[in-house]
Amino acid sequence: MLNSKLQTNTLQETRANQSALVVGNGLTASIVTAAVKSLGIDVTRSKFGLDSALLFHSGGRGPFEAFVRFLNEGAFRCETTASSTPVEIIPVEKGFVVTFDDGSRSEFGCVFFATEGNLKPIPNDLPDGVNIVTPGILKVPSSQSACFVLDYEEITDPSIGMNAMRMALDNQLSGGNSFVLLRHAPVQGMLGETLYETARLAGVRFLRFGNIAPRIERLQTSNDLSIKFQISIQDIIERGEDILIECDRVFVTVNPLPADIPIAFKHLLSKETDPLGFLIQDSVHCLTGKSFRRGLYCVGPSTGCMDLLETVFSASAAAADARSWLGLLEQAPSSSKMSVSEQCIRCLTCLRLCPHAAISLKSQPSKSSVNITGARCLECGICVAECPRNALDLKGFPEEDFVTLIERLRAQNAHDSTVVFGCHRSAGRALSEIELPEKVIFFPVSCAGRLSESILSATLLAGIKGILVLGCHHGNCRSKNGTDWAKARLDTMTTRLNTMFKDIGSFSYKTMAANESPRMLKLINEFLDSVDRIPD
Amino acid sequence: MIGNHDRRVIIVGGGIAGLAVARLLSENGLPFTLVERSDKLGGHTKDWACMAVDECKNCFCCLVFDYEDTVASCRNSEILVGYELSSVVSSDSGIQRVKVRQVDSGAEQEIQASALVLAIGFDTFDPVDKGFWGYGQIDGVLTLADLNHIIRSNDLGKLSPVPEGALDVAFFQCIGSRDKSIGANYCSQYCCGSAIRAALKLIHEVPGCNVSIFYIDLQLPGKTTRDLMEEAQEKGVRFLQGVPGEIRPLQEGGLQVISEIDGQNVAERFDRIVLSVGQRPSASAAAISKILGAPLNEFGFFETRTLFDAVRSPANGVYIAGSCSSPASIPDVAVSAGTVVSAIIADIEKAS
Ligand code: SF4
Ligand code: SF4
Ligand code: SF4
Ligand code: SF4
Repeated sequence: MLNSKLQTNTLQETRANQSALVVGNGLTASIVTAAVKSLGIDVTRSKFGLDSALLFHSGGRGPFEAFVRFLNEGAFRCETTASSTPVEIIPVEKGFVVTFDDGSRSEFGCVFFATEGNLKPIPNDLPDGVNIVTPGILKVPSSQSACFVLDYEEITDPSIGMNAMRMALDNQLSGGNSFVLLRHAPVQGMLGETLYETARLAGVRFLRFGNIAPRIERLQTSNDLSIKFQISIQDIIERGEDILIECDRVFVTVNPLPADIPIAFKHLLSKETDPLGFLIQDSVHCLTGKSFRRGLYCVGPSTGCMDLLETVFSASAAAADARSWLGLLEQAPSSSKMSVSEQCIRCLTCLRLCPHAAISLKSQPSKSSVNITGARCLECGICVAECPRNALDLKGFPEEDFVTLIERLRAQNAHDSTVVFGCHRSAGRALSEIELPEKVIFFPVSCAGRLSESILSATLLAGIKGILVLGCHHGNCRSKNGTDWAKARLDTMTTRLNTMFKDIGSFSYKTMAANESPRMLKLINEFLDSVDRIPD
Repeated sequence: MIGNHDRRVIIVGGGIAGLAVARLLSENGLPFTLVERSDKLGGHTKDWACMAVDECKNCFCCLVFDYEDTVASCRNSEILVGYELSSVVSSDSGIQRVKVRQVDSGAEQEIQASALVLAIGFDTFDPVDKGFWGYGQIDGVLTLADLNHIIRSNDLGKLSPVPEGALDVAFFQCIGSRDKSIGANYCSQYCCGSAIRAALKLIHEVPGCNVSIFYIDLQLPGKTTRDLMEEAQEKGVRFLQGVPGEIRPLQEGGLQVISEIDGQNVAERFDRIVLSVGQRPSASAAAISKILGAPLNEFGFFETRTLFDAVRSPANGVYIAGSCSSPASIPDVAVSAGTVVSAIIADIEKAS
């Protein structure tokens, strides 16, 4: 039985024209380039942004020398094949067409945005001479005393905090005297705790403050060459008088700062930022550097990650994903998932709205047409529902299915029925664990974003009791905002229909996840109750 | 040689790590055989609850359903549920064949293998092992996992001793983590974020619920976890440094703990105490380590080659994904699984 299933299969061939563009000048771009190359994908690396390496080492007690070696390693300093900078990046059927500032133009299967990041400025209430913690080894003359202040303005990113902790340890081991002031000791990774312990055992003094940050002052010294600082801290463990520390150097940690998105990427990336302004949302769909724009990856500091090891691993993970993406580009026959009818007037609404950059404009001698990249399309139906000409349809989830449903409802005179439209990846999956109440018709949709205003109103006007739309939670939609589209359309419909009709059924929109079947049942029952409460 | 495709990548473990590896392997055209010992896929993640409050809070638990769906539809691959690894034959170039055994019947079968991925995950720390919190003895003491199961069954009403009454909940962080006395002197990475999400969920779902979180240090990796903590503070969650060592049941009902607030010892009463239990090496790690000759590290997790080569075991042809090499949160697992697949493909490329 086992053997019958065993079939040969080959690693999907990546073609030469299926290459990757890595954008960035620094260590991050080198790491990404190496990761992508190791999978047999051709890489062009193009200049962009800073070339400083702003990645911190949180690898616990792990060898710091290895980190330095890694930073300097020739393999990661691979040649830049394009010395030019991208000025325009346009998604097309087989990837992206990139125009460079020297006028040249090339096509790439995937694009990695791997620029270096920035740190926030040093808090301005600190005296002159205080440094911020940057990656690397602390080079202070030995027997100096150094104080490291974490969590000064806000809780420090653990990788930056651990880098500071290690600097404190290095200084202590080379004969200096180190203090670490913090609210939360960073113990990221399996060896973080060991680093913390090693530092304590080596004599680094840890002091813990609460809501009141330590006060850092510069002492006046006769000799300007030896700067001295005095720090007072209210330790929440060793209570009592404020503790005073005198030291030669002070280092404060600051967190990463989101970088500006270059113009060339704006149309692709401006909607890919999180509320803080970093690229890539914290979303189940964006792990490993994937953006919603399929084929476009973001790795490293631009995403808010300042950790060296994390960048190395996410670059590898993104590369593995990119490789499968290139295979998919190669296979998927274009537009197999979607039909575009003659009704299209090329208003480009669909192109603007597609969250996955699956729609491009194909210029032809006679007339241009919209073109759907099958590999990118996730069949969310947002474009179908928003097309002003009703020119689009999903082949796998055709409009006809909705028409059949509506006709059936009319024919059955289903005034005691309730329709639940549920997104297949949340409600559709949770359905298997529950038993639907009577007179509830569940209709799975590829994404709540497919539910157009016309489908929703036609269903309701078929004379049913009500419609409940179950989408994925906001922020969890596979097509980013399909679930939000469904809500917006229901809201509009409510306003419109309520002014026209009095006794139409009710409708409601709720969100859920696949692991919420008991709650799904509750939502359905609550909806049924609310519908029943409405007097005839 | 890995590039020979009559042979498969064997994935040991069908939790979120194994599923993530399987999915990405098959998307890259590599056939796999996934072996899961229990009777279902999805591991711990499958039993945990959604932490959304009006919007997704990125607990990442529902990811396992996306992975499972893709894996179930993989062609040229197979999933063996109720099977375990029984032996391997390796050569200098790596793994050659593996034998798997059906747990119920003991029946064995042999599979031609090209590589083996360990994705056996972790065991949750059992607080009974270290008596002082009265878990299993005192009513009202539960683990973060128990709380998740309650939320998942939509049974939050059960938490309040008096229906609709006030509910005071405390979370104790680092239970079974950062604890040298049990050989767990490492941070379990996931529990601070999970506890804060659960706190927000409780406040959202249970009217009159007050939450206190007792911690040693808060670990807030990731760019948005800091915001999560601020949100929790705004919603009234108390964060208190220092984890009380003892829980006493009160005669009049409820649980008493002594905590230190502003330098004073204060007795506080809670209805429920949630122990944020850490990740311990899987109980089967030692046996599997022996079968494969894949060494374990000082904490009992699978050893990796170097800091930067963190998914290859010193044993040839063995790759390690997810929390069986180091405690991990779900996003960490997803990245580690991607790194494993990347390493396997890179090794194929190198060999060819
Ligand atoms: S939205 Fe409709 S009409 Fe406009 S370009 Fe797209 S398919 Fe054509
Ligand atoms: S269905 Fe969704 S993913 Fe596909 S082309 Fe339309 S908007 Fe894009
Ligand atoms: S990631 Fe977590 S909070 Fe978000 S929808 Fe999924 S299960 Fe719910
Ligand atoms: S994540 Fe938080 S609760 Fe968990 S072990 Fe680390 S510090 Fe303790």
